[in-house]
Amino acid sequence: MGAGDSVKSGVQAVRSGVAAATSAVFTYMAIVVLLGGVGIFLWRYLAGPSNLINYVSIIICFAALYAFSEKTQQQKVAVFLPAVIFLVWYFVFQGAVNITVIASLGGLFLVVSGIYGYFTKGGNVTPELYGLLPVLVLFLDIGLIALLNKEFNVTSGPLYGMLIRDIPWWALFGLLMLPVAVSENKAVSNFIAFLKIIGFLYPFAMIVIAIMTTAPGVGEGPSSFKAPDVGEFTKAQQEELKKVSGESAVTSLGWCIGNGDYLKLQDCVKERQETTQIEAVCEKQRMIKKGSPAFDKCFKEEKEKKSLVAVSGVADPTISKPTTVHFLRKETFPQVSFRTEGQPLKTMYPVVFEMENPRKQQIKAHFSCGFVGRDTKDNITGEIVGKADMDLQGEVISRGITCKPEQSASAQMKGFYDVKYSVKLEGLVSKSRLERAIIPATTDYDLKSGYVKEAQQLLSSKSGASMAAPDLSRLNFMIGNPPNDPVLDPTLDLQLFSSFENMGDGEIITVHNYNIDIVSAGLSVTDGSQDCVDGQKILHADEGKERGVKALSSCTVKLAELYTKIKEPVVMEIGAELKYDYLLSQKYGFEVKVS
Amino acid sequence: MRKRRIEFRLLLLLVAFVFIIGCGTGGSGTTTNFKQGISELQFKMLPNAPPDKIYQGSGFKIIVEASNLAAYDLKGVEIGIVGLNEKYFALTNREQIFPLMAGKSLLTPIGDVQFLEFSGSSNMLFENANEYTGNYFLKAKYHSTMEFGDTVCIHPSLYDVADAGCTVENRKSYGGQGAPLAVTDIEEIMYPSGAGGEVEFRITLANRGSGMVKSVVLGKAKLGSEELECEFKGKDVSVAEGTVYTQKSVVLKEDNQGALLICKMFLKDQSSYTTTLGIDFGYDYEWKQQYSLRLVR
Repeated sequence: MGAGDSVKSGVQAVRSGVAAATSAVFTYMAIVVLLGGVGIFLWRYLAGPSNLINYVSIIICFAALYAFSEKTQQQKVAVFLPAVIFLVWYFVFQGAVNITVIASLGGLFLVVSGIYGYFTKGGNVTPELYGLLPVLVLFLDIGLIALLNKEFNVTSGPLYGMLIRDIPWWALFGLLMLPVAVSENKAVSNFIAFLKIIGFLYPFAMIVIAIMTTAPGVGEGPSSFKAPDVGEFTKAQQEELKKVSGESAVTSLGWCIGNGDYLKLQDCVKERQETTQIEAVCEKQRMIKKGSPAFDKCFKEEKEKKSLVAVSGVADPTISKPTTVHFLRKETFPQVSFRTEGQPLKTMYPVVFEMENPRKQQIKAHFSCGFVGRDTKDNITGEIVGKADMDLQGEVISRGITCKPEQSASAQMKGFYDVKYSVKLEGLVSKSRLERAIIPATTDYDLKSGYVKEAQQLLSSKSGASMAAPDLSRLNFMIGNPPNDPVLDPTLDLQLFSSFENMGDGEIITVHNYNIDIVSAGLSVTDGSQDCVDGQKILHADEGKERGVKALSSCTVKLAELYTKIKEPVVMEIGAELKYDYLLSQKYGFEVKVS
Repeated sequence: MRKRRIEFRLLLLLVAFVFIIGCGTGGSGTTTNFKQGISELQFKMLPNAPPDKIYQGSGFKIIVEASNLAAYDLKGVEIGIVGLNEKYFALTNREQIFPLMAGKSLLTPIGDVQFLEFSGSSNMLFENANEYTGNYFLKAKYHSTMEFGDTVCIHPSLYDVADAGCTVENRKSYGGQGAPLAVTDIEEIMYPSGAGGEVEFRITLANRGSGMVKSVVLGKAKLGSEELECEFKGKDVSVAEGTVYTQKSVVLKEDNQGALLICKMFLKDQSSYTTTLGIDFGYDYEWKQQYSLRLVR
């Protein structure tokens, strides 16, 4: 063996030593990601989402990038490059879609990537794409799904809660990054392999099921030229968790096992989940302290409300024109304003308020506006230039609305701001109708079947639900036995259920009156309060904000005696209306530069 | 004199010609048999009554032509519009009654034809809806009769080779008797016995019309001049509500519009002969057809 051979074997030894050390570091990094992920998950679970947790998540992201580059045996520089540039853009430049920022960072990326690509003969593309995966996991961990749901309503259904609450994203990522043979102990390695399979399937199954329960309507998001910051992610996650409420099925299962309910586990979990959901509504939404008499009262009220059937309605297919309300930013809106140091901001922010009012309602509108600093979070009072109160009428309404900041406070404005326009629409009325067919009273089964068949053929709508114009809100109701059966038997007591539904992107702030005109249709309330067909609704905090159906009332009604004498099926229509006020807000971003 | 004789001969020839012509061509109308095939009361909506579109707050008419194509008179004919939502379409009259609508006969070869007019007005649409489609049924109810008649062979001594009379047809099928209710099939069964024998007719009745036979009542059933003893049989046979129990009537269900009638008679004679089998029925009939009105802005 010559000197050359000695050198070669030395180099090999160093290489294998480095490889072993790298492998160890990689394993450790994967373990760091795994344990860090578990820690973050528990921390968030116990203390709720916070900015601090999200910053820790960013640190884990770098560990994950390292572990991922090792796992996929990709060039670290290429893996880190797009991820680092993206994170710098997002956190340092606060996601600004600004030509200077984009050009600078984009240029930097292209230069570095180009040089690297030149030396690696184009081998940089794949690792660069790989590098974006940990960034995606980071955003999932800090609340991407919650934010998407808040802004666009893209997910819904019972499993949505599991998606935003029950998936420890980093822990799963770390688990999948672990090497195949993590330990010399075969049992440990097999256990880890088993966990990996579970870890791989778990989010996949969750996402598939969540997609299956996705709501069809994707709303219009607020226009902004700045990506949401970490605070907004955290806030979205906090707010969405409030809505999801209750404890997870896993926790409920643990509680039931702890209480020895082994025999009726399924029932116990279901009951526990319902209880914790109601508790969460009282505690988190209505802000009542657990254990107080007010909490007990709230619990009872919410349980009653939950027992009401929240009937749904449908959009009237014969009405094609919806009521639409929105603010529109035109080219006159200044996206960048300049202010002289020490001087107040003189710029005004004009938008256009547009309303399509196909049912020609006469509405009172009150406009307001305000400014919020994106970084400083300070609120600056805004003032509507000109008339803030208007009477709106006509089929197509368009009004220019201009907002200016309060003069003294505007002298401090600098950086990114949002101007928020709000309109309170008063005196809105939404009408609904319910079609029902009444059959002659008979005890003969065959005869009755014939009448039912005939009655069903007479109905123009087969859904059994009330139909309403596509307004901002609607009153849903059902009458029947069961309530969704459109064929009424005059010998039976009929159940009436109603609900109201926020269909727009704003908030129902007051329900002045709801009225279901059962009297004109020959019906009367036999059991329950008249409130079920005519009354006012006092909304709980946030009740009017949420999109979707809220139960209103229920009672038992009966058809008038004359219907027991009919010889042929009769078709009738029951009308209803909801009178309410609605608040719609829209914010637009802009930048103030000081010279 | 000769001239008068010629005139007399010509007159005789003319009279003979008239007689010959009269005898030879007079049968074409009388031989038309209306009591065959399947026929019933038929309805036709007149064009533009109702129109395809009815505008808000306007008047309209539904005009129906009702033709009795059956070979029998219809009694107590009630024709009405059922199920129209009054909120959108208000009718001034919803039902018309005709005590009698004559069937096809020599006197009225096309049957009775009636024009029914239902007047109405439309109301306003819900909110700013583009249209509303209101479904309704045109319904008819009536009572009518149906007669069956055929020549059958009665042969009590089936094994008597010396009797070369008529041949019994065990099963015969029929295409209808000019009404929606029809005798479709008859089985003839002979039971020879010492003195004479017994004949049994298993008569299958079916509704071949487009409506629904509610009930069937047996009228007279005769073999030659003698009455047959008949009763309805079958698992779906039930007696009409509120009537005294009798096997001479049957209520038909919607999903089974058929009935089986068993008629029997003891035979005194053993020799074979052909004779007429005549049975008549009364029945209640209901017919309906779905239509719709379109209310537009």
